Amino acid sequence: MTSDFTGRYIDQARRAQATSGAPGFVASARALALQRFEALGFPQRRKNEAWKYTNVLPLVKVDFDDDVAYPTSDPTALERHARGLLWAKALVVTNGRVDRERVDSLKLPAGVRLERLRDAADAHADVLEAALSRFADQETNPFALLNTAAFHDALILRVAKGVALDEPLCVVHFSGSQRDPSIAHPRLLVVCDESSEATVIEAFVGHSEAPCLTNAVSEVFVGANATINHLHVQWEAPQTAHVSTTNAYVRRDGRYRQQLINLGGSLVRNNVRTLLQGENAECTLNGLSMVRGTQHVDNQTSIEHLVPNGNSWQLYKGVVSDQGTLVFNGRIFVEKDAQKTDAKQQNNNLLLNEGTTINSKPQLEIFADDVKCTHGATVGRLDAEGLFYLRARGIGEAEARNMLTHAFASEVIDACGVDDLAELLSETLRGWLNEG
Amino acid sequence: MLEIKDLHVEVDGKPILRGLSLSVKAGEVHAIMGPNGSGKSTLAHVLAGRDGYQVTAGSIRYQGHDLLELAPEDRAREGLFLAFQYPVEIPGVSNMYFLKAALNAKRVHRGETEVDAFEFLKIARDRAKVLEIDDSMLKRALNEGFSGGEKKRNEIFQMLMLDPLLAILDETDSGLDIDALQVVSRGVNTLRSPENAVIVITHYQRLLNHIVPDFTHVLYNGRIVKSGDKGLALELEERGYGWVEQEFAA
Ligand SMILES: Nc1ncnc2c1ncn2[C@@H]1O[C@H](COP(=O)(O)OP(=O)(O)O)[C@@H](O)[C@H]1O
Ligand SMILES: [Mg+2]
Repeated sequence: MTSDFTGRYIDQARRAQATSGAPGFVASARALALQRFEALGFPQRRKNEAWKYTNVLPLVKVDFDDDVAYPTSDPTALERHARGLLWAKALVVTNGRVDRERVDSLKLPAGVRLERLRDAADAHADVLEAALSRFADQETNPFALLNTAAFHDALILRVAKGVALDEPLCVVHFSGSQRDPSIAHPRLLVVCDESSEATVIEAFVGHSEAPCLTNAVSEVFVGANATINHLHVQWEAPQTAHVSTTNAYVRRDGRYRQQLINLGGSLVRNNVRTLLQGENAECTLNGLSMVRGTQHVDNQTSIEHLVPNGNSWQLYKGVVSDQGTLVFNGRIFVEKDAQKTDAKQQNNNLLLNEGTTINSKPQLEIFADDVKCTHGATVGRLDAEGLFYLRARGIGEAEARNMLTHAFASEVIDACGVDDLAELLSETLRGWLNEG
Repeated sequence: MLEIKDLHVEVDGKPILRGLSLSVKAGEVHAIMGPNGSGKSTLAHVLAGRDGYQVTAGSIRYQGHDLLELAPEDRAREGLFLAFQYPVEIPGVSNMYFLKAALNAKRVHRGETEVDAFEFLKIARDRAKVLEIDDSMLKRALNEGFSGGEKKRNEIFQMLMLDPLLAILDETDSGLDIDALQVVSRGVNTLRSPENAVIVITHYQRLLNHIVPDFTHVLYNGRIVKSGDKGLALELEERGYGWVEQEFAA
């Protein structure tokens, strides 16, 4: 059955590879990814536990075209489509494509390189082995394999040893189409060498008159003692489905921090996987999902403690209203000799009305015996006492509800580690609330 | 300003207020005293518009409105203010953000322009001084982790910011030491004017040394059973509530 749907995607991937302008080792990795995608097909709810709550078959049946121009290149229109997320030092990517001039015009400090794969594959052959070849060989998520086979412009960001990016680097992915259903495969590779520091924001936005699918993959290599702050802010158009895969690999003493913020889209599925590969590595995976209308948001996280003395923190929050659906599956895996692991997971949800659906599941796989691992989940409603208190001071009911909802959500935003960003995100959230 | 007539209120079918009448005119301060459980907070909550109370008979008119028809926020915008007996902690909302929203809601309601952050801060600093409140309290989350005294002080601070026509203080004095009591009283006395009215709900007489009432009422078993001047408060202080209970036991 599924092969009926994959054919179109396979053809598109073949064409993308033929025009990729990449050297042989890239081509063979991508051919392998395509082969494996073909063999797996799209995930089916009944056969694949990890996709139990999300049915992608109606989505992938759509005749998406991978060669559709984004409706506009006008800067003010883009600004509007980005809903406040087109921040300083931003690279604009439209439907998975980026012009070389745009990349070159970014003024980046010494020791920081940002390039398109098609322009610089040979220079990055060392990391592409892990980022593409091994990925193609080992990744099990069909969407991520499809991205690997079919992306147009992969971006590579490298931060050299000891270099600290003082300003956040922002990549804004626009997805959208004027008429025909369109698919984009944004791909970002971030490689931070030893003791470097960077904040990378990926914003996913767009305006569309037709159904769209954004199928993004980001891989982040965190070197020894490096610190990476990675924001994934998704506010896609209402007709756009968003599937993302983020893999982070953290070496000894490295710190990876991700904030995954979902505000838009129709069907949204995020896969976030962090591998703590070196001792004393740590990660913070925070998430905030604002779900309304008939949105369906499915967040799957996996933190893998592979060696001793790793720390992980996780705070996932969700606000669900109307007929929204929110899924959280948080896997924590602790390898047999990963002793002294300290893992904390918290999932808190706020339901704004009846008729919403929440599925929250911790998935602990612990094979070491000397570990600390705590998890908790809550589902609640807005506090009636608080609501009355605000209203008794003259604040209207809708505003009072928004205020309390914002307060609930800000815990995640305030933890993003960068004050300016927290403020921007806080405003973004207010914008979201006022739109409702 | 406020005219309560024969008010009957139930909670979950249980009668709490049973025929309460009270008339408050501009410029007056009324004290309502009564033993625990007599219905003082119930009256305050019904006036402020809290859910969960069924008014089964009677009426409340406020400034020409049928008060019971107004949403809580509209009552507040029309100048009614309740200082809560138990102020609510609201993590994640800063005191300042909250108060600015409240002040602007009222201003918009009255057809005035909103104040910006700068103007707001000026007013807030000015009022905070009266109550010896530190600036840092403005930045903190609303009542979160505040001590009992800080919460009460914050209620009075909000009152001064919103400049109500009718202020209802529900046991604002309980849990305050003598210094705090004086500061809070000063705040309330700042508000007193021929245009405003205050209802001071209290269990003890001592607050009334600082905020001297024009009238004192004894609330017992859901009814005002005795009204008098400030002398009545002293009498209650001396004799306790026992005699009220004996005299008016249902
Ligand atoms: N929400 C409620 N549910 C049930 N009983 C209530 C509720 N609120 C008040 N009561 C009852 O109403 C009576 C009056 O309470 P209250 O108005 O708080 O008295 P006071 O403030 O004078 O101490 C008490 O018997 C109390 O138990
Ligand atoms: Mg009371």
